Amino acid sequence: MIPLVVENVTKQFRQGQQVVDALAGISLEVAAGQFLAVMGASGSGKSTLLHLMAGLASPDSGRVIINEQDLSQLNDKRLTLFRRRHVGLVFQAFNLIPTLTAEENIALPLMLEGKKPCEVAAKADALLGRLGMATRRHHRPDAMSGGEQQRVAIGRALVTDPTVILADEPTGNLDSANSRAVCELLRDLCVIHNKTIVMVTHEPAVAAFATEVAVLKDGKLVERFATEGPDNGHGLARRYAELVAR
Amino acid sequence: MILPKLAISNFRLHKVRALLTSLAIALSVSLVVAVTSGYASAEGAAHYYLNKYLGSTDAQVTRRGNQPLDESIVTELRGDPDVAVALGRLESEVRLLDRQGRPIPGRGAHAVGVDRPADKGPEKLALVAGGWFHGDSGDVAVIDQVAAEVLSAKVGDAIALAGAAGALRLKVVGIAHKPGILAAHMQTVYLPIRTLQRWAMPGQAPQVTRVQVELKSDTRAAEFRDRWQPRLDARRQGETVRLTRESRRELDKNLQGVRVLSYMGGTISMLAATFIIFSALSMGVAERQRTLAMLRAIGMLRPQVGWLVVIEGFILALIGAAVGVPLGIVFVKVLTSIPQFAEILVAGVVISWGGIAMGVIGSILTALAASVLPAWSAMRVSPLKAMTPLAAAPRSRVPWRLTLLGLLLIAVDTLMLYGPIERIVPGAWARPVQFYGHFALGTPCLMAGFFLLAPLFVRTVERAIGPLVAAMLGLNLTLLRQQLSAGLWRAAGTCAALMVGLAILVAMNVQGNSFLNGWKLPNQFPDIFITAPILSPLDMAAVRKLATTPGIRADRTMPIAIASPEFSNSIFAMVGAAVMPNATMFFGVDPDMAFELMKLDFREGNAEQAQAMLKKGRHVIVTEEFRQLRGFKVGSTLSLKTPRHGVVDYTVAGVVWSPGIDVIVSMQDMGRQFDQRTAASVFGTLDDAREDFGVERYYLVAANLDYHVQRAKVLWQIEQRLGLAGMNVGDVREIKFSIQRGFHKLLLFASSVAVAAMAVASLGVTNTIMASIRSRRWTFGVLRSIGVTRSQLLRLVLAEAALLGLVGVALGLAAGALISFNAKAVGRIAIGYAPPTDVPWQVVGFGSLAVMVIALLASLWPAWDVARAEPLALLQAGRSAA
Repeated sequence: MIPLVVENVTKQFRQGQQVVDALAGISLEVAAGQFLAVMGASGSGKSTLLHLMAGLASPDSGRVIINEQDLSQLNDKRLTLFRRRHVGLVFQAFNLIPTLTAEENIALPLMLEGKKPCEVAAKADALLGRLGMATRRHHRPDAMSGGEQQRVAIGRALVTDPTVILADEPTGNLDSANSRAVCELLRDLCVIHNKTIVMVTHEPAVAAFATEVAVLKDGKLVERFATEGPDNGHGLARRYAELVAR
Repeated sequence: MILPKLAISNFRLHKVRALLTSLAIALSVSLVVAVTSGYASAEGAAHYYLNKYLGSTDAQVTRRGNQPLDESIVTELRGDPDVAVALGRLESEVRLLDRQGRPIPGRGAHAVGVDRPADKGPEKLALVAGGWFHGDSGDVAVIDQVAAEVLSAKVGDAIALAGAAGALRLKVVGIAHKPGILAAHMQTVYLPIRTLQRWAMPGQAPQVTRVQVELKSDTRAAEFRDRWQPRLDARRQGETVRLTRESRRELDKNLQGVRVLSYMGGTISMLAATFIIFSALSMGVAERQRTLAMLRAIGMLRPQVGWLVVIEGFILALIGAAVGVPLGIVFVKVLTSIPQFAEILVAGVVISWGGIAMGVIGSILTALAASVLPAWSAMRVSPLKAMTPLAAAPRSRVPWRLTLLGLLLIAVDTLMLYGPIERIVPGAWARPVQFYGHFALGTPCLMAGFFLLAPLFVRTVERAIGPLVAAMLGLNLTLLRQQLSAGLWRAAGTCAALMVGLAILVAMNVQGNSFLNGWKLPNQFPDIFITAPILSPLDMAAVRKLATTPGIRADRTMPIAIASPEFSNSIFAMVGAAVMPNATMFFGVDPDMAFELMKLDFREGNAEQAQAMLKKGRHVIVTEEFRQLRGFKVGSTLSLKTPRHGVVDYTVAGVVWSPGIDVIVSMQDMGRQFDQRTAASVFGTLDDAREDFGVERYYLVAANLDYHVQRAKVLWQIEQRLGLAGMNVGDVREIKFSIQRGFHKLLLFASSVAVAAMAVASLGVTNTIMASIRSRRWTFGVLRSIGVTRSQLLRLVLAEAALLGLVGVALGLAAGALISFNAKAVGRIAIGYAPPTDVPWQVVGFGSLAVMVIALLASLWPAWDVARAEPLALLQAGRSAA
């Protein structure tokens, strides 16, 4: 089973009188345990693609299939429940609840699911340990660094053991050191824990942590290629620049 | 459990807002509890006094208007095998004389002749000094503490009462304590019944004004009444037997209206709280768009988002109720600890459980109602918003569909009251539906409607008056633009809260003022009205004697006969809203003299015609109120029940603007002559009063005085001449002034409800201004960085508050005007009469000013706080919030 399939999706936006093709027929598949970085210049459609994958917006045509479920077949309630159970979202701005502790923020989706407190605590506890945040469990977001906040956000995305993790510019609000730490964490999740991850980024150094890169331009997928590891960020950057400039 | 946790976590983030909102709810709940418990305590005191004074009495026999009845009735009653005890009392108004023999100015005293020691009733009064007298005769008296103070009398001293056969000198043997306010209103002198009978009614057979009956324990009171009332009716003296439980029921009935009013007063403050909760919840939703979007994105269902907001409202309501209930009880406790009130509220603090239930349930319902729109708005938050790093600028468009709905809601009450309701509701039900519908549906719809119009008002005022406010405060308009509409619903909620108080204040005072100013005196009117004591009405010979008193113009003196007929059919027995009694006052006058003394304002017919018709007999002049009540015209027939000839048809000879004689009668305490409250007045002739109603003695005489005559001196001379004590003289203008002053005081007291609602609203203003500042800290930081001064920032925030106040004023005046317009129709339904509208512009101005001041004062602290903040602090706070 392929966890995430995107089939020929299109999406148009209206800007005043003008109609803009945000996505012009994109198809891609993300295999289990794959870490795909979606790159593209501003306005290339990478964020729109992520929104469609998350079921936050619906395509004008085409399909998004996660875990063999066509998202367009779901109504709002079922789509929300599906997202809760099968999609982990990581946001650029972390979006943690400021008055909840790290542990509570991580446990939020399970609490929404109505899981038993002991089960919730056990899962959150395990994740805090895995993320290296065990000592920060009772801290609130304002007492944590940006990197720590994003780790908690990743923990929240992982807590329901979703089919795919979708990350939108997860390092956009972080300094380079914290960016690297978050990227390593995502890569470990993929390599060690076999998680399927799609990450939108415009930074080649960040994309280099992924196993594959898909480059979008003007709403189209222009190329998809395997990366050569985090140490080859410069090579990836060159190739990306060439593709964008083409 | 996650939803309450999230709700509480939101309160932690906005502690001051949660505190102010809870405080607003607590204040409104405490007002409900305090007002209802205050009334319950007063009610408890009323029952206490009723029990104290009626005690073990099962029934009382009295005569219409407290007129005396022959003492033989006491003997007859004692002969009844079911009667355990029957005791007569004679009560009369008397005038106290000071040590120099001069009458003590003021209203006079209440003399009660009792048969001691058989009559143990007075013993229930606590004695301050001395003891009770024994026996039914002797020149002794027990006086109350205020009389003792007024006369500077102690036990053993002599006091004197003014009377026909000279002064009655009594030795004070005891001083009793009466509640201060009651004693101050009228002092009481208890004396042996025979002494009073001999002195007040010399040469007459012994009479009493009240017989108190105690039945044997196995006797059914109703059976006793059913047996005795026909016997009393046969005597044709207007005597009635009234059971104590009926008096209690009557008291309960009278208090019921006050109780309902106390609940309504509380509802108004709760209404203001509703809008504040709405405003606070709206702010929460507006500020948490990203958080809510994130929650939606990670799997929170729409209904869960909605419930989150509802639970927030619910928690605020619970906190408000938990604080408000004890606070309300503390308010009443404080009230009862004030000596003046403690003496009245003798039953102590009576907690109104109904009031507490209303406060708690009302606050929860209020929160639920207030959370509907914010919850709906929260449910519509798109999860996509979580993906945007910066929050989108709030939309500030007027919600036209809701505005339209608001207009429809506003129209409900007006349509119900002025529309062709008879076509929808069967005839008999139309008026009750209108009356109750106005309170239960129309007014809430009207308030909700104006609330939905609030965004339109916000935008309009901001655009139209914003430039003016900016110019007045020396601000650049660009800075002020969209200050309010950036948080449209938040501003709308706050302005609606401000609206409630002003609207109620305006409506109450317009109605009150209209009723008050509807009473206009004729240009030409008798100088004085002289009233005779209840025990001694004047016959024609006494009137003639009175007319020759120096200072009285003999050719301008006219006795007025007063009778209380009933309508032949109970047309006012309207279901539920039967506030209008089915009795009227019949004033018999001499047609020739009446038209000399009074220049009546004829609304239909004219003086000459009316005079001629009255002289024919069985004709009456009716008042404008009466015409509105019954739709009479000149020539219409009015059927009145008369004691002598049964139902008699009178023809309307004219319709006049109320001359206010009925008010004189009420003010001079002659209202006691009527068992029922009267609906309106009709004017017939002395002959008709005598022929149909059997009135041959007069309590009221109208007269003109010679120039430069002292009224008190004339009255003294009349009393001397007629050998009567306890006469009164009234000047209509003075009485009108005193009524107006009293009514204004009452209005002022009632207006406190509106002021309380404004106080509750002030918390909402602070909340809104704080939220507005919070959402713009980054902008303010930038402005301060580029050179905006502290003073300019302060003025900017104050300008926003001024705009909020102006919108509140605009909404309040509009709502107040419409409520007043609708209330006019309600008045017509309830009492059949609606006076011309008279707007008290001073009150309207004061109310508007109060709203503006409240808005500005409530914003001072947050304005000052942001103005003194350092630019860097504002930038940092703004960035971390973003």
